[in-house]
Amino acid sequence: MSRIRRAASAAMVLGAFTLAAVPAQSQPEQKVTATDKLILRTGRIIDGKVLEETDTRVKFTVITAGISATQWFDKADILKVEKGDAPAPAEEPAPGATVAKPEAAKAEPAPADAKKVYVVNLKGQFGEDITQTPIRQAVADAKSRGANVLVFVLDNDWSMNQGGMKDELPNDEARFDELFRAEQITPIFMNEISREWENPPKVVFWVKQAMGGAAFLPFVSQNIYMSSDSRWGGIGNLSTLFGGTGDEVVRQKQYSLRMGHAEGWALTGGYDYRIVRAMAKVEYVLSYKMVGGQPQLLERMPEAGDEFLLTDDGKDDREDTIQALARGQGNDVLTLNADLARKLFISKGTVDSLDDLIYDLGLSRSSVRVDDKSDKIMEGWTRNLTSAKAELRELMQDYQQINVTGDYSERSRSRGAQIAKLTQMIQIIRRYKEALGPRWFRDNGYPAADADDVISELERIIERTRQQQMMDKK
Amino acid sequence: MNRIRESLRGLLLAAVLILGLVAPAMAGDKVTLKDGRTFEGTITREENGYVWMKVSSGGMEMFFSPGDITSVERDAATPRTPDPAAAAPAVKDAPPKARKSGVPRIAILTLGEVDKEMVGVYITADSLKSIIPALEEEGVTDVVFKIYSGGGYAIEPEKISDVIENEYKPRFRTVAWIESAISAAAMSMHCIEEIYFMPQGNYGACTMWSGALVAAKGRTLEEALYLMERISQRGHYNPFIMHSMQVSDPLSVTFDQDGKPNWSQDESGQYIVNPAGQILTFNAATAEKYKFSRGTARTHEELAKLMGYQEVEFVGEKVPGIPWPVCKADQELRKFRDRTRLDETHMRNYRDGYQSNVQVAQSVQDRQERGKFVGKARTFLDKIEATVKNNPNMAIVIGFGPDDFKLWMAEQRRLLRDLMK
Repeated sequence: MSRIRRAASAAMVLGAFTLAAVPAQSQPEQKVTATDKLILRTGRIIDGKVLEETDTRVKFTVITAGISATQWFDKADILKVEKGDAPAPAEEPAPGATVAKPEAAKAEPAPADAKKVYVVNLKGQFGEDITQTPIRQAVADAKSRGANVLVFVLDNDWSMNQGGMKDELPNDEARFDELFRAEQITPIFMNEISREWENPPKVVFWVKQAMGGAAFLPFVSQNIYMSSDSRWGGIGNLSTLFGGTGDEVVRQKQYSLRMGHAEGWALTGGYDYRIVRAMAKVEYVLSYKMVGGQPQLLERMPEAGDEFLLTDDGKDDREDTIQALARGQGNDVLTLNADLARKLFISKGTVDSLDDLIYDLGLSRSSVRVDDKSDKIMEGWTRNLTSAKAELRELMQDYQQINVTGDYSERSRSRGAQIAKLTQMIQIIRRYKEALGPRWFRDNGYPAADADDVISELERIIERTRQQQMMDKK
Repeated sequence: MNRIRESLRGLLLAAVLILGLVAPAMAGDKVTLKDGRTFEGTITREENGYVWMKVSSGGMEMFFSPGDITSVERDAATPRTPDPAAAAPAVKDAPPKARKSGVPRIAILTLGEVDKEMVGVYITADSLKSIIPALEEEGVTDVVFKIYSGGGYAIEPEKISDVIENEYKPRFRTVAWIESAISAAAMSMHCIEEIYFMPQGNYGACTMWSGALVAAKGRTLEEALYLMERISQRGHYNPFIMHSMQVSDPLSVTFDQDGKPNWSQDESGQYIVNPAGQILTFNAATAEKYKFSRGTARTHEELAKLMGYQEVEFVGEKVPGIPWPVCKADQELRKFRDRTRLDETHMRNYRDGYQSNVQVAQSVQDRQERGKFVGKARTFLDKIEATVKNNPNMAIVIGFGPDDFKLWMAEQRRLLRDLMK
């Protein structure tokens, strides 16, 4: 499993991120008839014509008193686009969303009985690239295309950036507490699809890599496949999450409630909750034996030749050695691979290509792919998030460089500029807060806190700046 | 155990009634904002809850975001651009359904949801008590508490338990349907005999703590244990079960020939439910296996079957995004949570705004100049007071019990007056 991946190049940092309906390119236009309306979230209604549309912006010719000019509008600022030549969709455009066009709902030409397969690639960092907003958008797109089978290809990035190089993390690196981040995503698969689709699709997870919080996602599906070099785990630190903080009984409470949540997700998909327990707790012992062709789990060490150990208690000489850990062969906690997942009837099969998966699903002769927008949605989110992060870094640098000096008027201007920068930061954080965590904020000059708390802190700074302005004298 | 705390209830009942008030019809349309302002005029456009209105006074067109609006009253004669979102069924306009004689009428009441789940803030005894008239008005026979909560303030479970025991159980068949009931949430549901789980459900982890994971000890712990022994009696549960959810004592169970569970506060039983040194949380499988729950239901239809019904009516109207009909009482609970969420978000900013303006005012020598900051501080203080008036438990968000809050308010009013002397 050689999964060492090179660091993303500097090209990852894209151009300036547009915060609001900024006239990035304002230029005189030829005569255009106003047939469309742009309704902004500020309440402003603009007459004109939609010229072009990207994942995040709409190019619109604004027509006022016979004068026209073209502007780009950020979709996050748009409540609705009303097209004069066709009824506009009623749905709100979300960040990265595409304003639905009438032809988007048209079915793909395919045999009448063909099953429509929609593939969503879940790549990148869990919680940042793999997050609820783009997944919801992809699922909504799949719904509009009438998909019968939804395939989520899960291959999350489990690496650490070291001096510009990405080092793949081992199996015993663990992030159990990403459980709560996963719980913001799992309702999409578990509740929303069955609730919002008239004919819910078959939801399939194809696991290539599901480590850390991503490990909780596949459990909500009853159709799990794995690739031959897959690994599924990275949540084995439950019993050490709080170190020595506080009283043992409260730490036990914290472990217990987390385990209750995690086991619930396994039960939802119809899996034995003890599998998750073995993945999460070092001290938990689990073995299995095959009875009548079915695995039977045993909460003890093997006692016969036909019993096989899954995880021991990690104590004394049973503690994983560095040799085992280096080879990904530790058994203090359970890391599933393709072979084991198949034996335990968790995985329905091992496949190494989408064609193989389609074949295994019994769809090879009667399916059509309808996911042409899927990658655009997922990658569009990642691209916009990268831009937003770059913008936030620049805004913080700009803010820090503003010196409130000079005469009264210069000081007032400087404070105004400070407030403007802070306001811009808040707007961006609000839009992407699901993907911005305390660690990112800390590493980029912001308070190390959750996004909502960072917003509160920035609002406090704005209030203090206003107070200073009120106290200032000419 | 029959204590109902009047001081909190009175205030909260008033607040919930205000949320549910429908003003008398007036000529034209009327928009009421969350800050209390009202605007009358003609609604010219509505989109996804956003409202454009040409106001009667001055003829100016105004725009309101859904987050700022408490209610919209429409004059039926006023033409407007239809809003598809506004076309969602409104209970007050729906024709009354004919009730089938003898068929149980089930109301599902949601206790908590994502980001609005804290017991004592979003799930309160007073809000539960205040919706009983709405349940009776709709002829409800059975109440299902569908709970999603990771816990909350220790002062609330006893009050919630009192309301369920004394107000709900005598009126309705009362059951709990567990999505997640951790800590104070589990303690609040423990007086209910009929507990069902969702497949992902969890229930337990009731250890009291504060600060940096410091456990309640001594008299405080003993009182909590004693409280839950009494509440276990209400729900007809062996007290050992809740005990192992509160402290790390072992729990095991043996089933007799009739399948009846016999519980032991040790590891001597047939099944070790909770090993010594750990805290118990049930999942759907263990709760059912050890006969703590009556079963596991993925949907409300499955739940009705588990409750033994062949035919039932779920009270309420279909609402997009919610799998079961939403009754009026649950609408009130949802409104209460929305309002509380808004208040909770703003409360810390009000407190910070108040404190920073007071600090600045204290440092300014010039009285007139000082007045500006005292004025701003007073505005923030008024907002804090109004928020706590809506939900007395909001005082806890800024670190006060309800009585402490009244004292603190009086002190701050005096401080602001003194600053202007």
